[in-house]
Amino acid sequence: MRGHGADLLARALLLTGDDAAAGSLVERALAHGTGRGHLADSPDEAATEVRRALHRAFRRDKDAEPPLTPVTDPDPTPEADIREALRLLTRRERVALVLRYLDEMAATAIAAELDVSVKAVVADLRSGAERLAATRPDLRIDVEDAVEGGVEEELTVAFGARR
Amino acid sequence: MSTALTAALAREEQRGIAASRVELAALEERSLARLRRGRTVTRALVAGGSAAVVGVVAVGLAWGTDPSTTAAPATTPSPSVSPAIDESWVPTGGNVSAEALIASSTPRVLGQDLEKPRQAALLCEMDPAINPWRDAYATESTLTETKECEAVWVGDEPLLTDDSVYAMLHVGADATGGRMLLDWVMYSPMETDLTIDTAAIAATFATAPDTVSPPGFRTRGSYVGESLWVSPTQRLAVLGNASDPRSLADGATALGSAEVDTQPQGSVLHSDEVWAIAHGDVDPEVVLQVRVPPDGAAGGQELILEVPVNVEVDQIGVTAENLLTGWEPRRREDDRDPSRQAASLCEVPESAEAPRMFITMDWVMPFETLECDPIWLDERLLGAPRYSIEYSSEQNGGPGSLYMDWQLDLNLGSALQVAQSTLLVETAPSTAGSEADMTRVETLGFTTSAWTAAGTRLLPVASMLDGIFVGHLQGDNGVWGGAYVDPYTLGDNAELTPKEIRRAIVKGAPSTALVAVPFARDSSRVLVLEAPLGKPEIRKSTFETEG
Repeated sequence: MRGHGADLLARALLLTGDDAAAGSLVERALAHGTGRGHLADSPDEAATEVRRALHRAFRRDKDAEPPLTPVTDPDPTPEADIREALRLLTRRERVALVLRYLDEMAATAIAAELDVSVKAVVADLRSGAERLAATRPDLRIDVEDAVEGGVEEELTVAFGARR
Repeated sequence: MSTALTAALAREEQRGIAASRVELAALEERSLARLRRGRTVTRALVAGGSAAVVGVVAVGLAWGTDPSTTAAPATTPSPSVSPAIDESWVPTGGNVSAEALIASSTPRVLGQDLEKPRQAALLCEMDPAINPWRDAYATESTLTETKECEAVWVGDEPLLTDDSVYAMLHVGADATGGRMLLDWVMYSPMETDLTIDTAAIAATFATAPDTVSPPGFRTRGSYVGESLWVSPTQRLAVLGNASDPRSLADGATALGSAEVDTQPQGSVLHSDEVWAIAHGDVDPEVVLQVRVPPDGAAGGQELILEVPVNVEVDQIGVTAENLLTGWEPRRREDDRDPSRQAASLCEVPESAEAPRMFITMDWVMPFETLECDPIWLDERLLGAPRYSIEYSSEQNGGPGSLYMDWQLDLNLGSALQVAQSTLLVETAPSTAGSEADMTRVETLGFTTSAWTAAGTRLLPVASMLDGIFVGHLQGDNGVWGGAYVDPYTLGDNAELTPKEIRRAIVKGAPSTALVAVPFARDSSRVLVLEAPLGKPEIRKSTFETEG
């Protein structure tokens, strides 16, 4: 798991924007993703399960969000802080857009990753993309592409008729 | 595809990867500790009529409580040590700041009772440099630490007592492990401006509370052991590193939950005390530890009030996940099937999910009309409906009032978690309805048809789906609900009158009880059981009879 730890924590940092909240999120994901009785067949499978648990846990979080942890980057980039733009989004919108743009997943694949309906993901992608497009025109976001693009994956159907 | 957004996200994530490596070892250790101790804590503060909150909770959802599940009275063994204590102190004169309370503190010893009651508390000497509450801003603690602190009495009288807290303890144990779940709501019955740290409230459970014992089972925000006394004058305090101070003045109310799991006997992850409570072998003494934040930054002393809690103990109910083991889609044209349970699976939009951290003074239980997927569950869960309506007409020809109440038997064989139930009346169920057709008056939904043209169901559902707002119906008990309609509850729905609703029901508009069953870990979905109630008994109002 340690080999995947930095990736997990980085994803949590990206979503939460806060060191303590990211640590808590990864911790919960590790406990949930590895603590449900199923033994993963490989480290990669275990990492996938924890990563999925992290995304789901973040989407379900309800606590107020802490302030963004200041960046102490010795070589700051000139662009506006993407974390501030992400904070304009709800947690649902944020995790959906991160999966859509960073992992290039389509709405159906995101729905499977988050164990929610495609309808809900589409709504989150649309509202999140619209808000980002309005506030950060420099990102040149195409709302329809946000909703319809990405790579389809085989669905893991938890509640058959819902998807 | 926005390559600019992708690039910005990738840059930020890469920065995170570089920054995160040093954190990993500590993080892994905390995660393993969490696995071993497995629990979560949530909390909220409700400013909005504690009486209303407690009332909603205390009304409950079960009727005919099984006596076998009633909590036994707490035991009170005699103290083994009783040193002489100086009971003189400096009165606070109503000042309930942490500083004034600390100045009034006097030692408390195991088994000691005072002639004039005062507030039990813990006074912890801290190293200011490593006080975990220093600069704490998170609302959920990540600590699993306890500290030995001096037991003290503070203030002129008790600030928070067992009358301040309504709590439910639900327990369960089987071959896979044991679990205990405490939900509580706390308010201050005094007219004092007491400020507590709602992110630093810990639940403690003691199986032999009046003894001195070695340390027990620590988790984030809670503690389970034989006793919290580590000496006749010192008790364990559960520390945290989250802080969210709120005033309990003006009826503000704090809510919270604590969940503690253990592995079965024989496992290295087993706790005897948790198992004994989860298995029902012992009813624990429950005490909430409530931090009173200092006026300034956290420093060299911490004051933690100890609030006793009288708990009702019942079995943990199963959740929606357990009911969805066998089901298939349901269509409007399906015949009624008395062997199966009609239900609907609903996604609660984020905007509809109830606030859990802070609710304002005008808080009322939130309801939403949700579009749901209708399904059949393989087994029928609700039956034997009893349904009555009572209409009272105003003497001066006004709109009058209507009261509807219903009861159903639960045929499950185990406890079931149930959130607020609602009642649905459809005036034209064979047509297709829309959200615009729905009038909701508190727990009543009145519409043409809950079926939409797309074959989904539009249902009124309360969005308080966790914590103290969820009841655990015991297996042999039933579920009931009621709806009251008068000009006040109708509010802006001026086009509808109680008389019209009564007339529609009497003419045959079907009524359906909607029983919301939450998911264990997902407040974004809810399973709604639908139970047709048949024709109601029409009651004559006492007012009319007397008039």
